[in-house]
Amino acid sequence: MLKVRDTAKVAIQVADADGKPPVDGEIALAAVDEGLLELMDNSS
Amino acid sequence: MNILDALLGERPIEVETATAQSMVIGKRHFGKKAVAAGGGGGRGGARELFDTLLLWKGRVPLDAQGRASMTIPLNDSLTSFRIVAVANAGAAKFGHGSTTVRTTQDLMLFSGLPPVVREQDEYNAMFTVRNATQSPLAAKFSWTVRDKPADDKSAKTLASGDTKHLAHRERSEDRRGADEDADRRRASVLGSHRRRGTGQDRLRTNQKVIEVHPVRVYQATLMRVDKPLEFPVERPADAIPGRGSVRVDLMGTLGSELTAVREYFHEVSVHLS
Repeated sequence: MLKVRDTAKVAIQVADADGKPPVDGEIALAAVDEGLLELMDNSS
Repeated sequence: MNILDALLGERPIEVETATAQSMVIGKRHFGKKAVAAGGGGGRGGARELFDTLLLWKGRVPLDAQGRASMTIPLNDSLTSFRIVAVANAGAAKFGHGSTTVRTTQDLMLFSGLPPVVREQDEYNAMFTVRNATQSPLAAKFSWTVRDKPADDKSAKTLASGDTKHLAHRERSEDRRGADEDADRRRASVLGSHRRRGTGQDRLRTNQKVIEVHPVRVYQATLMRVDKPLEFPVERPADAIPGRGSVRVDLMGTLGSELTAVREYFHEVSVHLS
């Protein structure tokens, strides 16, 4: 539970199938209101 | 959200039939029945302010341990946000993970104001206030209806997690002579948290005031003015004073001028020549 106008801190840990961290990995990050997903399913 | 599902999507049936069986009456509904039942199932009302995207970062490099950290500034919405990370490494490795965060605030205000009232209606202007904190709090409320205070500050004590209704008997105004803009009224409520400075909520809502007896045409006629005309009219016995009128329009010709048609043909002939 967070307060409105707060800042959410997210920590991401990525591991490959063997449980090792990937070499040269990168991520794409998105944060959206779930109300949007309720309007239409997002399959991507 | 699943990347594999998106990559290996289910293929549709690749057979197209040429029958019109789906159009057989009784097999399928048309018109109002075909429209999905509304209401939304209580999964949240319509929102006027719908700022949905908090953050979108296309590329965030990972460190040697495969970690990354981000700060996401939240907006004012009381909702839940989904944070999704799609990871890839090299050409063959990819995956995703997601989490959900919910937002809350100490003091919440909800409007229970009827969206439409008729003029001179007496109704309860209702607001709901909720204390979402773990401790009881004292709060002050005030609201104004179209810039004039409808109620002075009233103090309430709310226990932890308590919800209270604030009702105020109100009579809607007369719409006579009001322009379209004045149709919508504003009400704003401000509740403040005495113990902590941060607990306050404000809301502004619109309410439409409609006429009880809209002006309508009783009688209309078209006459040629070649001699003095007499047309008896009488005010209906139950008419509301100050409303309605007798309107007289005078026209030089019965048909309107055919300027647009003439211009069109002129243009066409210019084109063709």
